[in-house]
Amino acid sequence: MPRALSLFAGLLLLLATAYGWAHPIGESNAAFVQGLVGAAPGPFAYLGARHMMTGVDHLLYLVGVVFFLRRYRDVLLYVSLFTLGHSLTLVVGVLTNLPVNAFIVDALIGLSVAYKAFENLGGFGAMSGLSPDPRLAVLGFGLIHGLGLSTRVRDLGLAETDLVKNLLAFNAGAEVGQLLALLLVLTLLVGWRRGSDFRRQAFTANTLLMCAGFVLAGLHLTGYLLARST
Amino acid sequence: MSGRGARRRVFAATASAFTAAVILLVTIVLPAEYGIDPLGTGAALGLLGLAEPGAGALVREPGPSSALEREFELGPFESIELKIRLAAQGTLVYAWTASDLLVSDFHSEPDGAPAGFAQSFDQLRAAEGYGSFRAPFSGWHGWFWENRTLAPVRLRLRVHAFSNGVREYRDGRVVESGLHPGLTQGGDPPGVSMPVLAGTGGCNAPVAVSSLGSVTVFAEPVRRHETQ
Repeated sequence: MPRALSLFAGLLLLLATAYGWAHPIGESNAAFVQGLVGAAPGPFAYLGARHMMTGVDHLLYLVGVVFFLRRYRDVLLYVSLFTLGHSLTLVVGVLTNLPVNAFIVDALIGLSVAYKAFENLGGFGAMSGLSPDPRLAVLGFGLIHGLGLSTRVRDLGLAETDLVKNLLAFNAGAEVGQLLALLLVLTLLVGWRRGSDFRRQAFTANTLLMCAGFVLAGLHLTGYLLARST
Repeated sequence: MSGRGARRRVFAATASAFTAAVILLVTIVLPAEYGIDPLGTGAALGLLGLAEPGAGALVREPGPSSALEREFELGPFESIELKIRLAAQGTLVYAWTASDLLVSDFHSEPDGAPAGFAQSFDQLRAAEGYGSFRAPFSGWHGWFWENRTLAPVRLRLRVHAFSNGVREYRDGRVVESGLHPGLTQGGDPPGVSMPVLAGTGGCNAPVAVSSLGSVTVFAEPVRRHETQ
């Protein structure tokens, strides 16, 4: 049963990713959502789920977080901390109209991927002897990912009426999207760990993950500098 | 694993991840996303077009545009439809004003759709409407207007479109152009354009479905502004 569910999630994820790449954050979505009056949980939940499943930054971070978590209790703990963090800043960020720069937040999200990969490589123990609590880190980066979500929601230009309801719908959708993505990632990881060469491949994989995080950070940092200079 | 060996491995991994990221950013990502291309790799790979602001903002058309100007008088509870032939991505700009409130529905009949099918884009009850429309599909695109007052209402429509046809339906009949002496021949001088994309506050009106049976294309009354 879990396997069938994962298969389903994987299929959805593939479709969503293909769709997301073909249609980067659609203006027609924004236009459609702006045309809505009052509570519209369906469209907002869908957009939340789609953002989570097509956002490569969130996905890569999730991969990093669960990479070495073998016990489901740990998966539950870390994912709950991440969810707590991003739900908090998503809601507070949108409702208080928190003045955060989307480029900076996105760059930090990229760095969160690199950080997690560095942690997975055993970097903290080897380099500095420091060992920041990974649970605290996942909560903290959850807060930053939530700020990123809040900038997306604000880009949609929502009406004030029923803002809270629509926001909660977006958040609920994001959690569903995250859960579906997580199911697929865990299924693949469980299979991968059975392989004899997992340890060596894990090192390479986390190096690649760190590289991807740096690329994302550099991309958004450049965007920030360009936006400032114009 | 010894402390020193582990440290070296992690350092090497981090350094190579960072270096690879910088190379990817400079050679591919920044050229494609922002048009920043210090090494010319973006141009070599043909990536620079992706970053051009407003790519696709300008659409070339195969032929000149046509200007159409019409005046109608609608008696109490009389309605009229005027539709314009547009290819997919074809554009029209319009302005209409009326002497009193009219119910208006802008809708399209896609080519190949079943008879009577129409997709509605804008419904309002107003005495004026201004806007632009880019057809999402080829077909007939235009307005339904109905006078729901007890007195006659005069309606004046100006459209500029890349079009090769106009259809006009009035209460199930094709209206001949001769019935409209109000059709002005002057037109605007080029350069005096109509307002674009000004939204008129809409209120709800029943969807007007064009279910008229007999449809005839009538002779093209569209004038051309040769000077444009």
